[in-house]
Amino acid sequence: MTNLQLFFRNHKMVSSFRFRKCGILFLFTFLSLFSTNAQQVEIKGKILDENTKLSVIGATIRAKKHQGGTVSNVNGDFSLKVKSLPVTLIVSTTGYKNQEVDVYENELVTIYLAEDVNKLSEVVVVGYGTQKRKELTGSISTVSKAQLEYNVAPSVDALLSGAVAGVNVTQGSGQPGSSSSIRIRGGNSINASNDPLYVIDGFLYFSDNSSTKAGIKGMDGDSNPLNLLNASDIESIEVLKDVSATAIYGSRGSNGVIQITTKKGKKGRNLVNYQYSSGWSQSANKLDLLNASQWARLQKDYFLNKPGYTDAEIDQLGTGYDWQGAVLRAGVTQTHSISISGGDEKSQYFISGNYLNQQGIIINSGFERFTGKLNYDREIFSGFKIGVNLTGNKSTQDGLTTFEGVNYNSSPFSKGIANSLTYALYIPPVVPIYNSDGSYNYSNPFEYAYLREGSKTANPVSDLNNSVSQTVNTTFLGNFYAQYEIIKGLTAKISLGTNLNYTTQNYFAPEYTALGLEPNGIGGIGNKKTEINLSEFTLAYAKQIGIHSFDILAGVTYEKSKTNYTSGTTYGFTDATLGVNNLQDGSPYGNTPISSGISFSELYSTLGRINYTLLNRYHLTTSFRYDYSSRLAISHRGNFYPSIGLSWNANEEAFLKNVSEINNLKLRASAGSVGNQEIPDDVFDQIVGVAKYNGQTAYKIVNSGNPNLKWETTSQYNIGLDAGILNNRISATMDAYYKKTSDLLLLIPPTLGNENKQLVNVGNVENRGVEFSVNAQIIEKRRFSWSVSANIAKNQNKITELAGNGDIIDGVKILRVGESLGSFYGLVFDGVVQKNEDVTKLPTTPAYTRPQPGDPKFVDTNKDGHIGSDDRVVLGSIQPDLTYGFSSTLKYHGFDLFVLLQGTHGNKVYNQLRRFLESPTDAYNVSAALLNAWTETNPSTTVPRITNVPLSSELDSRYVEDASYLRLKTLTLGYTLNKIAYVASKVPLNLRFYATVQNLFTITGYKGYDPEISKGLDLGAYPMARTLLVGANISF
Amino acid sequence: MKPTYFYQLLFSLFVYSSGFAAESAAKEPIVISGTKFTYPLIEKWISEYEKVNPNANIKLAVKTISGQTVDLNIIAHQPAQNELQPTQEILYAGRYALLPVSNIKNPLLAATAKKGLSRKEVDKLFFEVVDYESDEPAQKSKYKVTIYSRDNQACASTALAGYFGHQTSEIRGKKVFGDDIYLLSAIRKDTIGLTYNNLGYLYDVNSRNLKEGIALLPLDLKKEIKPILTGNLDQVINVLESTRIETIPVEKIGFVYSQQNARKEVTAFLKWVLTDGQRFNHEKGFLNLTKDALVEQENRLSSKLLSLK
Repeated sequence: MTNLQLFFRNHKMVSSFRFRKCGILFLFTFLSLFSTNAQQVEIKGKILDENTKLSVIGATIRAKKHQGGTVSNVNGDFSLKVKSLPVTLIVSTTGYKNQEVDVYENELVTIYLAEDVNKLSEVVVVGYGTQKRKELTGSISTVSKAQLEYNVAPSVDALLSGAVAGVNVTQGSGQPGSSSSIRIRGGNSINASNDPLYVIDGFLYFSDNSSTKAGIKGMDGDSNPLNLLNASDIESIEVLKDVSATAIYGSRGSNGVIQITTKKGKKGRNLVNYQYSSGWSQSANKLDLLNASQWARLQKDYFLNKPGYTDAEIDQLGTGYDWQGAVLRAGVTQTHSISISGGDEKSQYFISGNYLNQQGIIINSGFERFTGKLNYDREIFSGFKIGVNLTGNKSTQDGLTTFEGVNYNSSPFSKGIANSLTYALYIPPVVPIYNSDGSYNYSNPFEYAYLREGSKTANPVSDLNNSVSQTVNTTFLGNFYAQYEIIKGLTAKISLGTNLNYTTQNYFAPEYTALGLEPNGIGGIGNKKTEINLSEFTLAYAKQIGIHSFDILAGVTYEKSKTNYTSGTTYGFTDATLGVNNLQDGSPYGNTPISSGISFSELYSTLGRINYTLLNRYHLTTSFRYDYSSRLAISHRGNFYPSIGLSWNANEEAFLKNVSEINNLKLRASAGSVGNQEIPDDVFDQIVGVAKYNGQTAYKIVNSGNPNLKWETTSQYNIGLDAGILNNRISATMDAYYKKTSDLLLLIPPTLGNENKQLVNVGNVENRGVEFSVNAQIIEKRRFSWSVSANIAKNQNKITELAGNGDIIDGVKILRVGESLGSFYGLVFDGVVQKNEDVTKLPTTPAYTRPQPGDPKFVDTNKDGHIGSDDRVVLGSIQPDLTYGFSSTLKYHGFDLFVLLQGTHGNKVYNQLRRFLESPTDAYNVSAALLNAWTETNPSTTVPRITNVPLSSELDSRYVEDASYLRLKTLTLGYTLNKIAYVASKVPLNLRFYATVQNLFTITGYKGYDPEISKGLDLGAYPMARTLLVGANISF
Repeated sequence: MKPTYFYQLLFSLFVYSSGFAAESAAKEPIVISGTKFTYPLIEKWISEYEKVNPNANIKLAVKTISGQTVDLNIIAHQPAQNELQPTQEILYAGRYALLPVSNIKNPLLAATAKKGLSRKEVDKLFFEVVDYESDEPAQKSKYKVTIYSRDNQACASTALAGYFGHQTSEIRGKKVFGDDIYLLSAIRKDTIGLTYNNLGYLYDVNSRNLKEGIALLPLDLKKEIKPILTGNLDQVINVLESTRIETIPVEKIGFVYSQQNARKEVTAFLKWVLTDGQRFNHEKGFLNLTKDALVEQENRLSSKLLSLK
């Protein structure tokens, strides 16, 4: 009985039959009306995706200012009861913009949701396909657009610097065109490569830093294999860090994968973009050395005072000759880039060209590059598409010659002379650079015999101007694809690619240069040609069935690479004027004056992946790859790499759905294994080499071989969390990972009967760490926006097993269970013996003598009363504890300001240059730090007294320096004038002017030129430059 | 329930249902359906047509019932590729204009009164172009307004977006379901509300004046046109028929018919609409086709539909 019936009864209004008859009819009608109002209106509708027209599952629909709501079902349908019409419905779900709709009539409402422009809706390039960020199960970081746009850099690796948590980019040197060391989540391997795999527009491009060398000794630095790409042609860079993302690359994925996608043409009018920049570079730092007076004083006070300086002469010498300043200069840089792109419904194209000419900050060094690019895609007919991505590049790098690896006579390298820069630092400032007639001074009376021919010595300024150390690289990377949608959702794709790389190294040191003195001129040419062909056949199927969504991929690939090389070196020229173009003028040099060789490798792979999504919020990715590599021993060539990844959009669950502050909350987990096959071809096999000894042909084993050589495998586990709040204006990502590399490829010392080291699978390495990154859009207004991004990563690297668990000491480095890869091993400096100190209580020196006041003290670790090699301890490693980056983009009206800071903490560098510069001799200049050397009147506790005792063979902790740093990597200020003029075709012209400073400052305690040193060993690397660039960008 | 009441109820249901039966027994009507804001004009055409053709039986469907055959579908936007079946054609019979309109208290009116908004400014007010490949925040209009528009599939939304070179998904703001008339209800409740609408809804077709509570958005117009647009409905129609104003989309309305199901009653009605019916366009706030366009439509009707019968 309804309340109304009760109402009528209680008020005794039902009194007569007639009234009752009418009343019943009235009641029937009234109740119908009343029930419509009281029992509410039921709105039925459907939620669809604006673009795909597919149903949106799990969208929340609620009436404004009303309690409760409903959720769309698997077909996108919903029904919601409201008290009356009109009503405002609010529809929301992750990945889409919230939509308010006013419903005035009770009819079926179809609501289309537009994708939200945030990181979740973004499509991310993954291995052999793309995936929505929302559905990712792996740890994949994307380099921000701001970083790509404002971080003016000629090469790709510089774009990664400080951009992504867990990616540590160490620029090897300031030599223009040189490579960087890139480590994703630490290093896994000792002897195999630790470089990540690059995938450029789908082509697997592995090219470590040795790939641009052609076997010529005497050349410093290296040419970056990534120079083939012009940074302004890059559309996006994704870093695949965990196994869920990388397992599809199997034996190539253990060091992480960097996916680079270059720009494509877009439908619409033709776009032209021209960019010009010009700039000046100079050394960010100069080392503080003794001037002429100070050096002469040192010679008089502590050495034999070869020139016989009097005090008056010493005072007159003054500052003397600045050799350091003479080899450094302000380098000029110029770039021109032009791109033209466009397309229609069927075809899109992108064509670009780039010219870069970068003078180095050391005289006669530099880098010149031409790149050309063509990307073309065409839809031949509905469902059938073809395309090509072609990149061509020619680069010429002029570098320094080096004594590293060149041993003759006694070795200048063993005295710390690594290259012409370090040699210039060592030349005493009393020695003139030029003669009075302006010619080079080739007479340095202090030089030792190993760099002297009679009275003739070398002049590092002349060395730089007259020596040749040139690497010419010509690269072609081409990829063709054809894809056809056989039935809806099922796509077959064929991709055929080739990578040709020709490297020529020209080396020439005339008889008046440091390297040419002893052999009376030396020169060589090396040529290397690498050809890699890759064929890939994949089949992909995507299907949504109700609440289930599948994306399945299967494929086979085949890669073949072939490398052949020739090199020849001669010496003793009668005429050096033609340089490398007249090598036949000289005599064959060394035991193998001419060498040539060839190597092959093949990799057969089968791969597969299933992406499964349930209810639009539970995601599973499982992938595998089976690789068969010819680089391993025959019985171990095949290996299987599986992975599984799970993720959960927790914010789409009912219990979080109405928490409007949380826009994204995703949990991820992954596990699996990947491998590393980046070792030289044929290393598993015993190789016999040929050389000449005393004019006779001799055979020797050059590679011991290992019939059991197998894959180095890295098992990886990752858990992660992605969160977004305040309409995703603040987003954060956190990851924790554990990686264990087993069957470590390690070169062990020769066994009995073997002359060569042998590559074996022994040992395990662990990397564990956490990463955190946050992005915030602090201000987001039409003419004023400000965003910041920050990331930090901690990685702990540890060797857990080694061959026989014994230490492997290699020079100043040690491999030891429980320690990190790249650990330094040496004595611990314990101050300076002071005047009143009881030296009898101090441990004896390595020469079994008692240290004297002013001598260095070292910690007697084993307490045996003697300092020796047994007292060495691990002094830290090249692995940073923390790496971090911070960037900020501020835009105000037409102005834009971009700042990028980057740094590391906890990594050590062996500053060998400083060690030598603080070891006084009677031939070379030294560091100004020695002015603070211990004397009776200057009881220094850090700089021992000056003696003529030769340098100790043991490394000590003074020179294993903390190389932590914080660097203002890039500061860019720009101003854009939009649509300022109209060109002939009446299209608006945009003009942007900008100025960029690179490496403006570095905060560090490191005492060398720069703390960013590849492999943690500072031999006197080419200094990092501080660069000011100004440029303009015109687009129409 | 006593039998008496039961019989009474049964009887009333019988009478109610017999109405349907009687109707279905009559001659099969021409069923017209489609964009609702055109209904006042369509209703007028039907009623006037039935006056001169008493035997005509034309029904304007308020809601299309599933399975019901519709003879003429009203369309008020340019159809997208593949939107029409290969056998379907459009016969245009009039035009309508979409004018931006706001709550009369909207501060935007005063802010823009002097110069009026240019096409570019109207574009920025109504549309948000999302560049998925840019990290930069989407450009916002400098004026704080709430845009109300019909759902993305509605004719007026499609016409508006198409005129400014956008997708309907790029129209900002809130969506209104039902009819374009509710857009005016929405902005009346929201002092910063802004929408667009056709003249038939914006003006009282009897008094020929703009309805209460709303105001047309000041546009950057030629001096001579500006005062006319603030005048009565007939003046506005007159100027819009003779002048192209870049800030005001004008779109055609037409009937989508299928050649397969063409009936001579339909042809006769359409012929009347293109001739005698045209004089009612202005009355209901719609624009006439240009002379050339009208002749073209007449020819089309003669050559296609009439030839079939």
